[in-house]
Amino acid sequence: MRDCYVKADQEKFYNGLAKFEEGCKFAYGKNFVELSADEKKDAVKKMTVADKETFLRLKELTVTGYFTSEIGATQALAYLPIPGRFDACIPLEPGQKTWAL
Amino acid sequence: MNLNIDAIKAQTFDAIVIGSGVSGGWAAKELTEKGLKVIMIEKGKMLEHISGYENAMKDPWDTMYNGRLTVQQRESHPKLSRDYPYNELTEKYWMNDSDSLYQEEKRFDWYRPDIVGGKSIMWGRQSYRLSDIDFEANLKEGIAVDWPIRYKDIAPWYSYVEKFAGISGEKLNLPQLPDSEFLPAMPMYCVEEHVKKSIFDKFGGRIMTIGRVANLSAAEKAQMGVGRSQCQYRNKCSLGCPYGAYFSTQSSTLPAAMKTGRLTLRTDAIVKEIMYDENKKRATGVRIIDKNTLEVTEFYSKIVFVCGSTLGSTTVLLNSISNRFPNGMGNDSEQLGHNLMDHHFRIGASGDWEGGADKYYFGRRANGIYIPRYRNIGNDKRDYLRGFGYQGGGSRKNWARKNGDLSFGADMKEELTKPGEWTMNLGGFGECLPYYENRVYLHKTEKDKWGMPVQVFDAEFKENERKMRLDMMNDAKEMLEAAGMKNVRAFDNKSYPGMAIHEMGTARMGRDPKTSVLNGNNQIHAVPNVFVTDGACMTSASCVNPSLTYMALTARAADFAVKELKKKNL
Repeated sequence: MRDCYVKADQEKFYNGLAKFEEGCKFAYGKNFVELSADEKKDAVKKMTVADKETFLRLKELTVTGYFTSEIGATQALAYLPIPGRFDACIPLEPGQKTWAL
Repeated sequence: MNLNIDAIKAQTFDAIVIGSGVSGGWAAKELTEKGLKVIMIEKGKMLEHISGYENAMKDPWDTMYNGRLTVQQRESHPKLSRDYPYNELTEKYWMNDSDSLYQEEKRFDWYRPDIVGGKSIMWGRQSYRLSDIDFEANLKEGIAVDWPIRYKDIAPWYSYVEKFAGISGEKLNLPQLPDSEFLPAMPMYCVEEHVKKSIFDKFGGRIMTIGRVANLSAAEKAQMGVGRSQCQYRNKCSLGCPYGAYFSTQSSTLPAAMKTGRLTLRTDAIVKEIMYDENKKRATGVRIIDKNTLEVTEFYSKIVFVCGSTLGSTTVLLNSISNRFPNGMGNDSEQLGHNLMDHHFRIGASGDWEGGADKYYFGRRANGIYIPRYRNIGNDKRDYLRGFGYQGGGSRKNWARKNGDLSFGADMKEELTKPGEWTMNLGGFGECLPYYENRVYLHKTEKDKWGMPVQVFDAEFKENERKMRLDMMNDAKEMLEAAGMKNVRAFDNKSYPGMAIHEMGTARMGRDPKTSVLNGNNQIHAVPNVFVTDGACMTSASCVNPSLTYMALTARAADFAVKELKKKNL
């Protein structure tokens, strides 16, 4: 965020997050990280309506960050740095995950 | 003044090659293998094969920004950051905007490499032959001037370079797209096979084939001999290939030339000008500026191969001023710098496919599909001249596919770990006519930090290209819809000259010295020991990717030059 987005976008995003945190405190009396799983879900759900822009940016950054991290790429996805061959059309086996790369 | 005979000897070669990209590498290989002592001069820095490809083996989490540009890079590189080739991982391969001070009367996106190997490192590797439909077009339509060669002149040289470079593809026997000497074709995804069949059935036998690409689908003796191995299907080619699996100077022509023991490689050296002897009516060598010390040195030779990339080569010629050539070397015709061409692209359509949900793939194919030109071929007649081909391909949507919707949570995460639906994309590459008024010229007073005059661009796509683009967009949409694709989206992302990095022309070949710079052997009409064999020589642009043609023309010109040297004609 700090390096790849222009100042105005950074500020908009940081303000959105601060407002979200304030909203959590107001509604639940706690910071977002201290909420229970159900409360967190509820809070984010509200955010998709109240501040769609911040939600979408947050989602994009989180999804990208996760699936390009070592854990996301190698555990949640199928990671194969050097395939060594190419098959264009093979049966999709049950449990086959998306290629990470 | 003492003439230092030893120093002059050390600076004297049989041939000088300017530039080390696709064309320069071939010139160095051919000339050294034919026994000449050669110096290859490169403006960029050294990039060692394998060890120099610092980002080639990195995982996404090893990078800072997953390839994205930072705000700082966008600000310091306002021109380069206009399009994708410049990114976090290729930063060091490109010349900084702060060093590349060209000016734009009209927008021109100039991607200049700053490394040994030039754009042969980052190129798209798509490799196609021109046909007589291309070579005859100018003459038949009364456009610009006639090519001085025909397909039969270059065909054996295509074969010659293809056997060494290694081109993977499918034989089709099409008049508009002659076959190469092919390595095994790469296979198509199910969605591509589906679209291919539909296009053939519903559009009167229109062809879609797999891309013809300079990646080794199998390594043969010629390639293994210079240390290359088969493609590993990582699809990270533009970072440099540690396996030497695609054709580049470093993987292919440089090791071949080095093996002869007759090549000297001089990096970080800008060729200021080619020197001319009025009495002998020949070039005598080149004057270079050391990029780091600014020291000026002269090298002498019997022949000079100008392979500095279209615009680099023309800059050198325009800057080579003498009494005989006050407007640039070989510029009797006043065509030097004119007839600048590039392909226009970034237009087409994409769509989703509901089929193939039970099909997947293994490996990452660094290649797409190709639809050869079908417009203005045979009985097809349009309201514009020439035509276009499509590149593109299928893929299954990945984990980024839900970034624009409001879903979140564990279910979404689980869903994203599974392959998404198939999509298919078609992007046109159109021919641009050679217009005299589309040009590059040298600024009269502005200079870069090495004292070289800066280039000014004044070029644009015109009515013929605009009309063609309507077909490029509508045909793509029509083909995908006919194949039953859903959510078909036509797009025109706008195309400016330079963007396709297929810049061509500015020192065209022709039959008449009054209207062209080069003859049919890529020889400057009035300076027979200077050869220009890169994109600058192109008389028309065709719609196919041009690098393979530069390879063939360079090998052909090198063969001619050495024969002429032996006959003492140069």
